Amino acid sequence: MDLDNRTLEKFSRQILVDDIGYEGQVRLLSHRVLISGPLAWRLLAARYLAAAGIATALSGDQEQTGDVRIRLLSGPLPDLVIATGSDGGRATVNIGLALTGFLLTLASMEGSHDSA
Amino acid sequence: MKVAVVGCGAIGSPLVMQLLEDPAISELRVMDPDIIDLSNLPRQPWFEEQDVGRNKADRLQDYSPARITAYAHRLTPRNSAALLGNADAVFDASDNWEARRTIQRWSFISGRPWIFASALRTEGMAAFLSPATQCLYCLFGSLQQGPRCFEAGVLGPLTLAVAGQSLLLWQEYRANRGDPAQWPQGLFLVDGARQTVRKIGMKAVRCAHGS
Repeated sequence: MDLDNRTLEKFSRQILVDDIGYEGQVRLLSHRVLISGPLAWRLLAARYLAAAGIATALSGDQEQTGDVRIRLLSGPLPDLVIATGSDGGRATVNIGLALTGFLLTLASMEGSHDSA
Repeated sequence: MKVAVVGCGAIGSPLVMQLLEDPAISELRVMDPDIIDLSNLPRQPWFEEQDVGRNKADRLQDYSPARITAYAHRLTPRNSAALLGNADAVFDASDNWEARRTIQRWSFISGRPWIFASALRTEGMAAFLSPATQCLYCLFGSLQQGPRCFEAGVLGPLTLAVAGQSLLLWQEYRANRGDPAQWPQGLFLVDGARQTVRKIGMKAVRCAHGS
């Protein structure tokens, strides 16, 4: 898959990161996830993953507390579980760090269409 | 309380969203001269494609017009009194050492604290700075501008983690507002690849740079 000029421009700052690069960005765009957990934090995680190029779906549950859980639908990774708690700053740090690691992992693995 | 956020990009925009959740903050003053660019969207997902071309501070104000005051200006020594004025604290999200030196000068003059933050590639930093404890020069000396996001790249979730670390420092200060000995000290290193936050640097000191 080749990235068109507009997509290249949009993701240019991610592509500049050595651990992502052009091939890594192409891989990110091939992945799909399902996110569950407390609504506010589920939406935050979805916002950042979608912005990075991941196809993102939200579960329909009504949880208000607990962990954020991210299931990769395009590969064999175990679920990513992120602790949130009641502290907004701590939850923001946890989600930001976990999603950074998640993107670095996904950038190194091809997404498949038949995993679930 | 009144707080100012200098820079409305990758660190500033999530900071503003989280600070809006704090009912004790009556006014959020946000400032940024930049317009939203397509390449901002992967790490500044509070903006959307239809916002490209709008000023970042003005766009953030749409999220809460009653509490956010927006200035489409770059912070400079000349306008710092007007823009930062009587803020109780300032959050740095500027990606710019000139702006940080200007905030530090405001802090020396006003005696009020600020929170430094930066992010690049998969790493970031944050620190709570005040004349009663440590300042920018205590941590970095006369360090000059290094590579910036548009030159070296950055991952969006890493900037979110740095914004969260700034909030943690703010929360720690708020919980101990009357006791500077309990204010956060040192420099917090946010490592996205290792998924850790590590504190380095000083035990309790009292800065002498502003004297």
